[in-house]
Amino acid sequence: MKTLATLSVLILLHPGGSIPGLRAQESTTPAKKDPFNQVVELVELKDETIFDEIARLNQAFDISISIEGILPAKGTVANPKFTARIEKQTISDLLTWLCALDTRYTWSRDGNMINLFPRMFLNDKNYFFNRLLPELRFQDARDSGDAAIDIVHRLGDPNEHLIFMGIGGTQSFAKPWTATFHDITVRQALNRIAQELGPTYGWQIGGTTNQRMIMFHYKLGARPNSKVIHENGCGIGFETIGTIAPSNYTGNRGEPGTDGTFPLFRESVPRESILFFESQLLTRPHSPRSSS
Amino acid sequence: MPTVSLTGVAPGTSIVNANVQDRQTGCQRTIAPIATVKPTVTFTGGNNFIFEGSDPTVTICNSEQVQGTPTQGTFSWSAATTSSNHPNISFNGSPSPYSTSSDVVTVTGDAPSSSLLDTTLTVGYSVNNQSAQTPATRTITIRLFKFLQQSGNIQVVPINGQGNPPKWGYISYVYYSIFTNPGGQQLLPGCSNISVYESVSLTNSNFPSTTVETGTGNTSQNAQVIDTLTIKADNPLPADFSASADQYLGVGGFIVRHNTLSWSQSGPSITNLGPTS
Repeated sequence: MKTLATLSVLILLHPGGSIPGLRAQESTTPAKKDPFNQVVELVELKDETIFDEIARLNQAFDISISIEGILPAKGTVANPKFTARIEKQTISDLLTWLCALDTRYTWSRDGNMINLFPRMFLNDKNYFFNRLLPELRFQDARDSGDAAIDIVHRLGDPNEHLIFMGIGGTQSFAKPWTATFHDITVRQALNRIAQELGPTYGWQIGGTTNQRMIMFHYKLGARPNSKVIHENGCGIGFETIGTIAPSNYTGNRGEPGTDGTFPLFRESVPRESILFFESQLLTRPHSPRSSS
Repeated sequence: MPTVSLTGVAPGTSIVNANVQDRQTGCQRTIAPIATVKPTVTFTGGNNFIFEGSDPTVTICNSEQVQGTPTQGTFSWSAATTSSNHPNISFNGSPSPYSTSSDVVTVTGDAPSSSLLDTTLTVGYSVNNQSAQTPATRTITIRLFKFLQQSGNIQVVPINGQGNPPKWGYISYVYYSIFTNPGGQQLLPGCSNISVYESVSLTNSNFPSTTVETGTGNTSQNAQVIDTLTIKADNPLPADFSASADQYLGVGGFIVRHNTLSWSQSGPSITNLGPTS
């Protein structure tokens, strides 16, 4: 029902039920139904990477997504961009479609977690994230960084390293965590850490082969319609008197939008120079962290 | 002319029967004037400001309270503003025309004040069909969360092989004071646990999805945003370790800070991209 509630909000915010590039079907998802069978009405990539779409998917649905990036020895990887669309697909089918576009990647499912990873390592038992841990025990683990590094130590391979980047509320567990797992892969172990942070949490791998970095997240992407327009190339639109607006804001203020909310921007501020931020409409009921 | 003072015990009207005797003439007269007892009302709780928006962690701070004497009456709230931003003001979520009759209300505004104390709350009170002669009034400011100001230096706690298993890196804490407009007034302790939003974009670090939400936190008891930036590794960090990110921080539903974060082997640095006023 939580998912339905979120969808309802999104549809409310977006007349016609659409958010950019993604439209979720409003109908009939029973509370107990597999979230991966939810139907996405329309997906559209417009010169975008598959990860742009995956981030939108993560914003619209209460699922967890983790991605193992393809790492170069040095420098940066350019991800291919696509222009494509597809209608009426389940989340599972949509992921398969996206991985057919960017054939470098494939995906698997681990409970409510989607794992995207390089296809070339699908059956490589030596690939770091496929490696098996006969036993893994977390004893009063307090944060995701310590737990992730414990996994590397547990492997006992001096060639495998991990650098944890912790930003904001992705670091502390709500309470000390003790758990034991058997015959679990590194990927699954990281999934468990993300799940301990909270529902929808996931992780990503970036950096280079020499400096492999992991970062946990609450969700991929920015909030729907969060839009930061740089004015004169130097920052956000500071002329705003407020930073919350319904997506159907058309420049008038003082009159409610079709969703009954009120746009909050000064009339003189063009829509394109406004930073959209709909946090209060999308405040999530997850465990608050002691600090951001 | 003789006078008497009457004290009412309950609002309403009463007939006061009085026998008056003229001492000079000895004449006696009976009079029956009508005495009207009026209730009173005053503000007893809340502040002379509220925060713009409808984030539930914010509106909890937007409570205003009045007290009527005697009790058991009904209150009538109204609001007027001279703010050039023309905020729509609601009581307990209900916009004008107002129907709120309780003594404690949550006041919300969808746009900020344009000057300090430019909005007036007025509360009438009636008991037994008698209304307070003077309504309670309070002038308030509708504050907008506008910008953060770093408080002190970044506190960097090095990790040099501590722990079991050992780890290397650092944990750093960045403290921000929160400022509101109009007037650039600092948020003071008293209203804590306001939602803090954070997102980062890591464009040069090979993370496939470059922008992520890092979770929602809350303001501290000291009315500050405390951001924790950690780098930890299973080995000492390489000397050339570096990473950078664009960071956006929001308070109570409003983006209030844009930073560029840069990490090196020894700690993070922050470039403030505003807003600054």
